[in-house]
Amino acid sequence: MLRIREDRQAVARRIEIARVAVGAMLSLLAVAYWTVQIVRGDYYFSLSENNRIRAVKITAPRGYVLDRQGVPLVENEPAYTLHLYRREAKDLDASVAFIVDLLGLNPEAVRSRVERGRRDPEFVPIPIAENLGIEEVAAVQARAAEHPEFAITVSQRRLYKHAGAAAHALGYLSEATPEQIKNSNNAYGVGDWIGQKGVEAAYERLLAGVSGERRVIVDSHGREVAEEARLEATPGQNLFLTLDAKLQDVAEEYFKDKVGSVVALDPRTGEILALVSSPSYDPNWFTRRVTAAEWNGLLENPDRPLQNRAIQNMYSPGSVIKPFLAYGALARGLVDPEWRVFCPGHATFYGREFHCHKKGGHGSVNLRDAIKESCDVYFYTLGQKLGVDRIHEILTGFGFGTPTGVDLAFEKAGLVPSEEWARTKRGARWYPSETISVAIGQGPLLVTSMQIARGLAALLEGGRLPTPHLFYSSQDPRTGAQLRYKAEFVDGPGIAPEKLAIVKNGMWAVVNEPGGTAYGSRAQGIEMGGKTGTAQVVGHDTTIKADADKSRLDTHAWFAGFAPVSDPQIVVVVFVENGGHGNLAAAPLAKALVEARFGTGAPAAAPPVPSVRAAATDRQGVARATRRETP
Amino acid sequence: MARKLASDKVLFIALVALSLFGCVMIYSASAVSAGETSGNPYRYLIKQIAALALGGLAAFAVYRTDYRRFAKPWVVYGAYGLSLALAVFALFRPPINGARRWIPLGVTMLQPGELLKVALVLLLAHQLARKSEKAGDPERALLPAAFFSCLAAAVVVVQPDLGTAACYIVLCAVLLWLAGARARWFGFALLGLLPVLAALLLSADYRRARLLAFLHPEADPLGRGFQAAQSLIAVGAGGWFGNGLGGSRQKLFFLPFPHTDFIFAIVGEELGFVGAVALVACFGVVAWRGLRAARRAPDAFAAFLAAGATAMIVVQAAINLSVVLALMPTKGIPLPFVSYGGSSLIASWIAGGLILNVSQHEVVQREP
Repeated sequence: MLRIREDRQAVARRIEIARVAVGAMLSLLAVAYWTVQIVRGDYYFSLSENNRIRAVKITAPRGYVLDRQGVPLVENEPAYTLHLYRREAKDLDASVAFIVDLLGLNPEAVRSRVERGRRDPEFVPIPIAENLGIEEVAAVQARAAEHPEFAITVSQRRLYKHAGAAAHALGYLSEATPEQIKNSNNAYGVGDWIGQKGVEAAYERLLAGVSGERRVIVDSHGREVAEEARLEATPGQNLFLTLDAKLQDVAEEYFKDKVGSVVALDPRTGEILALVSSPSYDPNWFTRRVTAAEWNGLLENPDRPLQNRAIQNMYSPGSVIKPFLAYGALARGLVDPEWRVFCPGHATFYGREFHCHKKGGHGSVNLRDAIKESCDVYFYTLGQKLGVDRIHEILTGFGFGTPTGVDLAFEKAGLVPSEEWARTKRGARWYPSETISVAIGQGPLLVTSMQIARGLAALLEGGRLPTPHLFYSSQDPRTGAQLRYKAEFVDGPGIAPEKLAIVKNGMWAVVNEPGGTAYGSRAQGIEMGGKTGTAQVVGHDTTIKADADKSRLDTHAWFAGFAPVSDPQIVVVVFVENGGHGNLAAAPLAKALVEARFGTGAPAAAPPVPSVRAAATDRQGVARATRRETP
Repeated sequence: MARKLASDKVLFIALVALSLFGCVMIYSASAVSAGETSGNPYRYLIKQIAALALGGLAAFAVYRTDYRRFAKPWVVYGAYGLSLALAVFALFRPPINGARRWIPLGVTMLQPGELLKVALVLLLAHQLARKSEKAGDPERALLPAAFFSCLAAAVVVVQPDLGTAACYIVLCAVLLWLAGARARWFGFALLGLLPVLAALLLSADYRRARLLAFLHPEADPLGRGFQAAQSLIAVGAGGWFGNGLGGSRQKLFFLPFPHTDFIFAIVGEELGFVGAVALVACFGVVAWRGLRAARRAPDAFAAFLAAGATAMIVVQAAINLSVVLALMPTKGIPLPFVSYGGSSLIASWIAGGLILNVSQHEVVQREP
């Protein structure tokens, strides 16, 4: 018992020691907490303040754009940017002097960039120079050990392989506007690139892919030190266009020194084989951050290079409209194919004299020959028979007056006049004499090249209107899975084959019979049909008044053609602004395109194309003659 | 000689305060991440409250049972054997988060290693009381105590859970010392354990990395030392009064699992030095009242039982609070009563029940 009590005493003593020990230990802990929380509290508080998780976007590689055969039109290339990290620089002035000397930069520009960058927190690198060449990159890398303050970052930049080629079809990229950022549902932020115009805009979602995100931990200096989470980006789809690079090249080459547009499409599907609007611009300017001078040059150029003339500019179609009216009149039984009109070179309607483009007159012509020789007097008379409302019915049936629905933005609808239009929209009643002008594609009638191409395709292919499109297929770059476009059609007038045959024969004769207005542009080895047009100038946009600028009063040249005549596989609409006559300025390109399309064996280069200047004298006369007709 | 008293109300209030405080902090620390991952911000709080209810029932049962019944060999070895068997069973289950530490039980998981802590306390108290009272020499308990402790430690080391294993060893050492074991035995034990510890530390990459991170926290502040560094930042940023309940910035991304082992860092950040010291004081109360019960206990078994249960709580708390301040390498040891975790909470409350039980009995001591 005593022994036990002694033991218990010993235990009790040790328990007392333990109580003291625990008390001391907990007090020590409290002191430790006091040290951390109170003594060094400010330090840890500042660390905590600077503790940040930052979300960094992983930009998805943008899909390539290729032609229908896989010829690359738009790719991505690495772009090198030189950054200066101030934290690493011992002497900023020395660093600037070094880099100016090494790369031959403008010292003033570099200094002002550094000054501007000084306003940012120290860890934000200052961009010094963009788009470095490989040699420059190598030069900087070689000196990296001495100058750790300079670093080169690589990003992907859009590369338009053929400078200005097909620029209006492709569009361009630029930094997203505040408006676009607002409407994008957080998909885009400041500094993100987004497609503007062309397929870059139309198929932005497809091309852009889905960006990923890295959540990175940044330290109290703002530097990225570790990655917390990562969501990979989904690369954009590659986009195959209906364009045929071969045809596109031919058309681009032709328009190097001309203003105008070309639309070539497959009348069976609406696939656009070539699309040119001239003058053009280099979409690469925008990805290299267009300079103020370049931008002003684009904006101030009176020919408006940014506009896509094939869909955004509306013009009088001139005689190109005649086959549609001829078919419409035949189909409605208003005229017999052998109904004849005598053309003395002029005729009087409603007390006003109207001239034929051939001063001596065509003599007696039937419908076929009137198309072949583009006899104005025949069509004046036909127009009188039809009346403006029936003309309206025929032309709207072929899709004029409504946008074609092509997969490009900012398309214009054109204007097909009618008595109702004159009464309600114009506010001045329709004069019957205006109908006479409309019958040869003048007057208030306004169309786009794309509309003519679609209308002609409808005429040739059974009357339904194919929706023109550039989308051929898209391809997932990872799986190779393709998505093919399915042709779409709008219901049209329906075509009676035997009546179409007469119109087609007239259009065949335009090119292939002596005396046809485009006989000079017969294609080698393949039969092309078509219709020339020479349109009086009525201004660039919807204004109906003639342009006041005297230098821009030359007539516009049109040619709308197709080939082969027996089974049309291509429709070509060529438009040369202030180009003079359609037969001289526009038809030769259609011939070259048809030959390029069907590979005649003959060299694609056409026989010497008559220069625009050579035809200038003749043109003036026609312009004067036609202008007199307008009331 | 012995008389029955009312149980220790101060101790009871301290334990309840710790538990409720834990619930509040668990909600604060986990609401955002729980809401984000499971859609239910109360997810951890609800489970903790359920565990608290279970723990309270268990504690009440333990408290109302005559403690002498716990001294029966079949209870002692049964509890130990069952816990150990469960811990071994967990080893043969597929790993969860890289460890074979848990046994899934429907909506929740059982961590046998936590129950084993209480069972070990019971067993050590039994052994020490028997050897010192019946044989008169507490050092005779050295070998069996060391054997059962090391066996338990060996099982949890395999899980792997070095922290809990260390806890067993320390518990054993504390009780042996209280019983009167001489200092040299601890020297021998340390000599024997050091090579084992070294081998364990170097055998697993993450342990080596944690140790290195502890020795050189600046070397890699965002790698291995991340938790420790962020925990320090959290505590330090709290200042005097903290940035308010729910105001922790660190819990959002920087401090992984803020509601479990590092909950005290959030306490420090949100409630400041005042809150931290209040919590430390709570553990001080538990230690003071627990050891008081042990000293006044009517027999050796009760004394060792109360002292062991108190040691179990205080040792864990001390290690956890040191780890949060980066005074010790990172270990998976929860803060008793406060950290999220049902098994730990129930085990802690059973321990609390044991102390409260013993506190009802007092031997009137005559000063020699």
